[in-house]
Amino acid sequence: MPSHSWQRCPAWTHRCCQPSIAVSKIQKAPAAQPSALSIQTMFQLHWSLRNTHTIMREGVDEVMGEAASVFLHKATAFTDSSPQHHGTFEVHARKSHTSLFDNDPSLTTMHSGLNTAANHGFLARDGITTFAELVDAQQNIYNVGYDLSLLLAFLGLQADGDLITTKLSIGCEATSRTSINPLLTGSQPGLAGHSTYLYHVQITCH
Amino acid sequence: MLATVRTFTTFKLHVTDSSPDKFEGDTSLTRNDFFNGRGDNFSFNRTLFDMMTETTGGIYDLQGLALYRRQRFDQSVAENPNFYFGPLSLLLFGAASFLYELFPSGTKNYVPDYDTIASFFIDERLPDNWTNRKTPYSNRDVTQQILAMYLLHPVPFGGSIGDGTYAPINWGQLIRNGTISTDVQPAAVSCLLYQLATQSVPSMLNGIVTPTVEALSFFARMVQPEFDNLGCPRPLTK
Repeated sequence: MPSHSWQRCPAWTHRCCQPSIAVSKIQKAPAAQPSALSIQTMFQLHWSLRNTHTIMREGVDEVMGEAASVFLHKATAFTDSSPQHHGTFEVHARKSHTSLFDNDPSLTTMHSGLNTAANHGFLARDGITTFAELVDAQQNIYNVGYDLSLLLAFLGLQADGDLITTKLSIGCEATSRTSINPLLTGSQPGLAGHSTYLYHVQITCH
Repeated sequence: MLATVRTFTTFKLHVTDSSPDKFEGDTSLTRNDFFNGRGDNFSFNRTLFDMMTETTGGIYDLQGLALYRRQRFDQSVAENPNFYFGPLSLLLFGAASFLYELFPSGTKNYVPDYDTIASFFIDERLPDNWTNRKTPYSNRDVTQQILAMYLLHPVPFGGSIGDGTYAPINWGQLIRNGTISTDVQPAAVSCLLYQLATQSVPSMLNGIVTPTVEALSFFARMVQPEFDNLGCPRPLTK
């Protein structure tokens, strides 16, 4: 097993357990050399393990192994988001992989910031994200505060997604994949199908 | 692009249909207005990006983006007969602040220059050797930027009503007769986004969007705890 320990959680939350292995890979700016297991790759693994029932994302194979067992503990419920306090760090841009949304361009989003997040594996590559994933990705990539991350994710979700599954399409409507029951909820237009709340406007749907 | 499940809307629980508030994203930085884009208000528009670059001089800072947002407003008034600019449009100023608050890299001294911004908008990739900001970008931070940018080039909140007239609207304590006062109270500032999320908001000239009970319940459970110390008025679920 890689060396790691679990951070203690404050009593008021169940949300904040992050294995320290992820933090230890953060490179303080100005960071120089990418580590073999970059933080970005680790997060990819993190997300993919969280959502293996819906998708498999590229990048998992290369880091499968011992580290995976750490992150299996982090396979959490959809609403399990956590405050992150990283400070500045280098977010590695993988240069090799292909562009996202190759399979379904309609699931691209109007938000440059979210597209970038998905292109680097911080959001699900199939364009269907969750409340927790949005909250965490905003913090992990852009260092958005926990309060603002929650607010923005909420605005996107309640306008365009499903409050029960907490799933949200960052592109156009994909109700059959976001809704707990399309018959009951009706259309969940996705961020590109709805221009009201935030993620339309906020996370760079400029 | 809309899937077939769109037909199953009989038992709609959420106020999330696309109809009433479709135009809230008008005047965004690099996306067309809903009307002018014939419904496509999400595709990247290179012409708008170039216009933004020209106006800002390639440094996408508060002053430059405030001016560009004003130009986009004027453009929409002139070209979009269905133009609507409501309270939620304030979020566009927050989004614009991302260019100089979230996107610049520590390895470039956090200067929001062309290469950095183009990487996000055109390539949709993080720039090489990119490091993020040092301190979390909080609710307070973004709200301050929203108001700072808006107040540099204030424009009236309201909408076009068809005969070339632009009608102003009111919202809560913040917007009176289409305008935000420059002596806006600190409490109203810190609660701005909170209230946009939880209060009824005029979403077009004859419509109001009220968050559903389900949405407010989710908010109370997942979001509210982080805002308890602001003293914002709690949303009522009934």
